[in-house]
Amino acid sequence: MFKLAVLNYRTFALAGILGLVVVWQSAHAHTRLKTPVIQENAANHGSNYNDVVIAHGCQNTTDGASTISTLGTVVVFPDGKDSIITTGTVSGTAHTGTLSDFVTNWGNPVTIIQDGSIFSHQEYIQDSLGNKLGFWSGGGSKLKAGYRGLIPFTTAGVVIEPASCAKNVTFIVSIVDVCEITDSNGFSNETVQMWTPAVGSIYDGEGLHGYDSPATLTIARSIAPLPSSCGEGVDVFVKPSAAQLNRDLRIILDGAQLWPK
Amino acid sequence: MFHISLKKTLVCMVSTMMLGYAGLGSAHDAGATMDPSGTVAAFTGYALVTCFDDGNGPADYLVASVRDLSSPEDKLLVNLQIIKGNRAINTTDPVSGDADYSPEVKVHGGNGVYLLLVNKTKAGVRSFAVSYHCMTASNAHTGTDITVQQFE
Repeated sequence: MFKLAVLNYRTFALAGILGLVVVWQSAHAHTRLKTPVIQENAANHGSNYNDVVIAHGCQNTTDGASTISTLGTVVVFPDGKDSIITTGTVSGTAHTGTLSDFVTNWGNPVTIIQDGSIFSHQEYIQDSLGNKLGFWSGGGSKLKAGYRGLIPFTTAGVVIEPASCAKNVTFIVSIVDVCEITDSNGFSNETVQMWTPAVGSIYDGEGLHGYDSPATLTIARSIAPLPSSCGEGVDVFVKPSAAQLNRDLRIILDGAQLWPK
Repeated sequence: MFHISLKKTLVCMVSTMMLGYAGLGSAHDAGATMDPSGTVAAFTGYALVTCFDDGNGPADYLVASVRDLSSPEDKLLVNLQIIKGNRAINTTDPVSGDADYSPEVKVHGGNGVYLLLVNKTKAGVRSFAVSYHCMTASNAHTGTDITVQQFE
């Protein structure tokens, strides 16, 4: 009897803990990359296969729960041209040089993996030279609220400048999960989940869920050793500019902009 | 809004292919049109090709060739150069508009970033195709990525 009581107590305690964990994860899970840290240049591993993990839908206004399904997602990497570069921390010392001071070959990072298991449409987001800076996926069936979604893609091999002191280079990835098509004035926790850096773009979403909480992809130095003069080396962070996000973070189909309206 | 017709999807796919063709694409055979106005003798396409081990082994060299797809024009030929470190090489398609590529050229630079240039001998519109492949020492194809830096 005593053992049974203890068992029941433990069972309830465990259930309570698990329940708390589930609630915590639900409350804190953000849209991120499944593999947020990769090695430089994909040595020995081929292309870097990855996924955007859509963790939850949008929030209703009644109780704030994430009960609104997701129509699609938009993903953009920094173009490395007018990007905001810092060292030390993401809000650390501004680097006045260019990305090529730290990375030798950035500019065409994304390849879509064809997959219609959640959304029916996939399209690249490209610069004027055809370099693929991101993609959007949407349409077809929705990602049901309460479910998680994996949106597959690969990233190209990245080579850190051998003479630089960069030990890690972190690219800030801007992602918006769209639950309702609106213009930028209609952005709310009901219509979008914006995992973007607050750089002054129309996608900052100040006050909204996920404000200034973007996804990241870190390239860990793994080819050339740090020059001895570098000491422990520096962490480098690369954010997109506001101008780039305003230009690239859009859903365009057949020449027509679908989102934002 | 997301209930998009199949027709639109197909139109979009074609549009995307055209966009990709406007610059050097990311496949290992790519093409575009240089100097569409026909007035820029100095028109140059400049790309970075990254060679890496995709499981087939580390790269030993980058091999590339270029094919001029436009009709022959006197003294107007298309060139391609590869540069890495202290090594560089050039090739020219000697006959415009035929089915043959230029002679293949290689730079043995191992894994890493190679500069790939495409240019021409004088002003004039030139459509062209480039073939570029990172290869291992045993001549197996290995990891190859491209980033276009300039096309003007």
